[in-house]
Amino acid sequence: MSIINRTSRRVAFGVGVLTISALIAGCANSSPAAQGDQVIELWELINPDGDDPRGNDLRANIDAFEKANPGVKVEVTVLPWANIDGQLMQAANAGNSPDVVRVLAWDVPKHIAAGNLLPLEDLIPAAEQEDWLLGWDTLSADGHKWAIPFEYRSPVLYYRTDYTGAEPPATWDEMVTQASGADSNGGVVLGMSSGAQAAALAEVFVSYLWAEGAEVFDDDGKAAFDSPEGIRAFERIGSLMPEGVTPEEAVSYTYEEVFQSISAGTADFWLLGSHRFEAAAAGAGLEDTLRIAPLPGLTAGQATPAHVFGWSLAIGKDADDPDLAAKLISHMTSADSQLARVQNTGELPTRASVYEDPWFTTEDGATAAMLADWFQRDGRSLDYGEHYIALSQLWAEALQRMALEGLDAATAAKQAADAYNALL
Amino acid sequence: MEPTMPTLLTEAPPEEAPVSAPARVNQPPRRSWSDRTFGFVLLSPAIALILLVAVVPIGLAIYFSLHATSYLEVRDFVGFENFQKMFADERFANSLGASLKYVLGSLVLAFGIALPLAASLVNGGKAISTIRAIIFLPWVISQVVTALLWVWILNPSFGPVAEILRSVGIAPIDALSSPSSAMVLLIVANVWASYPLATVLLLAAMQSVPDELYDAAAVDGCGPWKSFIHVTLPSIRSALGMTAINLTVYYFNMVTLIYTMTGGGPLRSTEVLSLRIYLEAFQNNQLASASAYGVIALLLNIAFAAAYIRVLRSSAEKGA
Repeated sequence: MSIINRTSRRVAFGVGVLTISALIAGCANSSPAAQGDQVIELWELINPDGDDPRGNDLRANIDAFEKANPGVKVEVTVLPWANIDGQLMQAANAGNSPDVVRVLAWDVPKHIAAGNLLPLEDLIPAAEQEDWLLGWDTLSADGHKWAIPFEYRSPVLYYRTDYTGAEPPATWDEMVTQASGADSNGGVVLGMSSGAQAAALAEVFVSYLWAEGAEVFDDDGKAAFDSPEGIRAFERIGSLMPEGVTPEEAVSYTYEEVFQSISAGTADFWLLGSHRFEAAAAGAGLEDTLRIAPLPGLTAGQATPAHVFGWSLAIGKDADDPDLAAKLISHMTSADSQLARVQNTGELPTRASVYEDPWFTTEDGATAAMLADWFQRDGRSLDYGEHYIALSQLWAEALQRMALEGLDAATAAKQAADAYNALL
Repeated sequence: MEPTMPTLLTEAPPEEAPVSAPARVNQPPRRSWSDRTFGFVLLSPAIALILLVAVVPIGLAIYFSLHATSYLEVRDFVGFENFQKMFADERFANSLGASLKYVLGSLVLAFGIALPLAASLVNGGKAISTIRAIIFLPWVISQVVTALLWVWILNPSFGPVAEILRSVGIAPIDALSSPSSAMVLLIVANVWASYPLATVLLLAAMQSVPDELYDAAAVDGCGPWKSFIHVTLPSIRSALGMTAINLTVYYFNMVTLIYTMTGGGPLRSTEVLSLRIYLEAFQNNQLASASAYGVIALLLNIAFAAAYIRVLRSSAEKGA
């Protein structure tokens, strides 16, 4: 016997249809916008509503853009930095890539290959194509400009004045000698994890490949780091652990563990990205003693090339109004915005003219000025290719084999090069 | 003209012989079909959800695994080429081996802790709820936090364990940097986080064993150990099987803890199959390869599920 009458069934049927419709509608893209506003969707890793220096700076920057462009609203989607890359790939594949998106320098090539970005050379005014610290050609491929550098960073030497004195070691050998002496505090620490965060090692390793005179890739994009010069770089980094200069646990160290090691003060020197300096000094109360310096050179007077990279801004292929999106990028990377940013957050400008500001001669701007000077003299950017993350892991594994299994440098370099070329 | 019989449509039925009920009884096929339809309507949201989150992804994974892909773009049909490449790649065997070590090691250790712990708590009296809540705490901590916690605790340079060991003159152990010991540490961290589930499931099963069985065993001269072997274990056989299979599937598909703790290193010694799938899909953007790995993982999961159903049926038949 039925316990539900026909009317109830119709209501229930309607509810069912509505539920399914809601499920389907929930899968569709929806972007609420205030009526009358032209909206730019910006994918960011910084929360503009967050009460921290970077959040405050971004909020002020966006407010200034909206004030200068009445009727335009910037809608920020905040994503964890590690997720932006994958999210962009998926969104672009679904035809929903954002107007403006942050892309890490070594992720740009794969997004170019996947067709996720729009070329910028015709969208950015010619006058704004000048004044870049490393030139306009960075983040370019196939004759097109694909992203605008937003901030710069490089692996640097971290040291403590209360451990090893006020001056950093002048050369690599001097660093090794100090770190392996009787009064060593734990040696030289760098992240050598071969896992998902192998970038910590690759950042440093690229600098020393260049220092030895090696190149990462040849003109065809194939591995060139197994040259005699490259093998010397493998020998240099790979021998740190067997010689007792670097503790064995560094094999499992990612960026985070190196950072914690700085805070704990359990080494003499650390090789890590410059962008973590402010946080490391402030977090551990080491403002008076923690310092950074360019990576030590191979010989006195010969600086190690700075491997300069960082976050960039790009336009998604599905941007509603690419000209307006380019306008936002121009604003966010303008000299004024970058000057405010370095003063508020410590993020290093990518425009050369910013460094001419008197602020860089003050005590507050001294570290940024030192890095800018190094970048301008010896800074290089790398065209990373589509498989850079995989390459980072191959390098880490090769150097781990040298440290843990006694593999020789030539074989390690050759194996890594062969494995990389097989990916192409 | 002879009077016609009154019809249902034109005349009211006599009180003593209501015709409405028999008339409806004469429509069972329509009523039955309607009930079935209504049942489907009620089920449709759940069916839509299952289609959306389970069947469609599985179908897509199989589809992608049979095609060449460039990033997320599907290209030509290539048959089983992706599977051939996968089986020829030594990393597949490495990942499968790592998964087996991880799952079996975790199972043995989890049961080794959970079983005696549950047995010791079964007569916990009024404090049992409190004790159970305390035991359950590691289970509710996120895998990311668990991983970071263990990495920090065991760090030989600045971890608290190293400090304690150094204070008593023992050199700290650097477990995560060695391919042979990294997996052991990973299993320990995993079991620390997951043994509560096993303990609570087994404890619940042990509490449902009738006291009469223990009384009878005592009359027969069984001590606590013999009672545990001959009464408790046979009585909770079904729960043991279900817990084992649940944990196996859970361990086999785990990514977050391993990704955060070791990232698959050193030297890929902890790169289990589930992590390999994640890295292929979301780090290397190799959709076809990741899908091929995923299909194999799916088949293995189906095998686990089949074993699970078999255990349940076997227990039900024995209980009947």
